[in-house]
Amino acid sequence: MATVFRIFALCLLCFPATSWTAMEPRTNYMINCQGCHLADGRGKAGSVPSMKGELHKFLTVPGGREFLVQVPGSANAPLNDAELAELLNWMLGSMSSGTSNNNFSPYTEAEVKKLRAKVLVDVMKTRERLVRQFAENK
Amino acid sequence: MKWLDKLTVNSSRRLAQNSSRRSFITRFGTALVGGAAIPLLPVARASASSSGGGMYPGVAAQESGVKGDPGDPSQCDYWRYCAIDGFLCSCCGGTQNSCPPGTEMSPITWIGTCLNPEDGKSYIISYNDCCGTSSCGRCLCNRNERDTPIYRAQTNNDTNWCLGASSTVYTCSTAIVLGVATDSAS
Repeated sequence: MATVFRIFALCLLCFPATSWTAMEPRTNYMINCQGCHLADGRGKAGSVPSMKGELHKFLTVPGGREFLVQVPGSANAPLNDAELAELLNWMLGSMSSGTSNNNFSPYTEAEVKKLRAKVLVDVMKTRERLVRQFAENK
Repeated sequence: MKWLDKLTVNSSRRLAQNSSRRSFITRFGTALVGGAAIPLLPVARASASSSGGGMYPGVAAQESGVKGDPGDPSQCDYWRYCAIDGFLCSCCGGTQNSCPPGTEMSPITWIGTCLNPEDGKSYIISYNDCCGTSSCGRCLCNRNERDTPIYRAQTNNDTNWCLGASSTVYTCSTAIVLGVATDSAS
C-alpha cells in the first residue's frame, strides 16, 4: 500500500499545477493598462501618451528598452517579472511594429527583473529625452 | 329625455318609500360608491412599486434580457457591480451599458473582473463613468471588491473617472463587459 501512495505522490509531481491562474498577456493588458491607454493603445492626447505605432521607437534609442520596463505603469503593475516580460513582448508586437524587426530580442524574465529593480526617478524628463532622440533619428 | 327623468325619479322614489333606512340595498350602495372613491385619493404610487423588489422608490425591477447575464441591473447585488462605487446608471435613465441622455461616457475608465454566477467564469468589467450633469443620487452602490488604495490609482474606485470626458462632473456609473478573463493555460 505504501508503494502505491509513493507512486501516486510522485505522479503528482510529474504534472504541472493545473490550477495555474496566470492571465494571458491580452487579458493582463485589459485589466492593468486599457483603462487609460484604451483598447488599441492610442491613449488620450494631452494626458495619456499613445503607444499605438509608437512603442517600438523606444527600442531604437539608448535607454529606451530600459524605459519600457521602468516606466511606473510597467514597473508598478501588479504582475510578476515573467508576466510583465510577456506583456511587453505582446504589446510591442500587437500595437507597434516592434517584433517585426529582425534585431528584436524579446524581453525575458531575468532582464525584466534586473531593469525593474532600478527606480526611474524623473519619468517625464527621461521620456522627453527619449522621444526627442527618436524624433531626431527620423 | 323627459321619459328618462320620469323613470329615474319614479324608481328612486319607489326605492326610497319601499325600503327602510337600515336595509341591505342602501348599505350596499354606500359601500359601492365609497369603495370606488378610495383609489382616487392622491397617494404615492411610486413607492408601491419598490416593494416589488426595486432598490430605489420609483425604479422597477429590470433584467438584461441576455442569456447568461443573470440578475437585476437596477440592484446593487447584480454580478457586474462587484467593484463599483457610485450611482447605478440603470436607475438614472441609462442602463448598465449606456449613459443617461445628456451625459457623456468617459473613455478613461477603471477595469476589474467579476465572477458571473451563471457560468462560473471571470469577466473583465469596465466601469465607465457617465459625466456632464449633476450626480444622479439614485441607487448608490458601493461594493469595493478588490478595490485598491489610491497609490494603485488604476484600480481605485474613489477616483473621479470623468477625467477623460469633456466635463468632469460625475453623474453615474456603468459596468460594461469587455470579455472573458482568459488565463494563459487555456
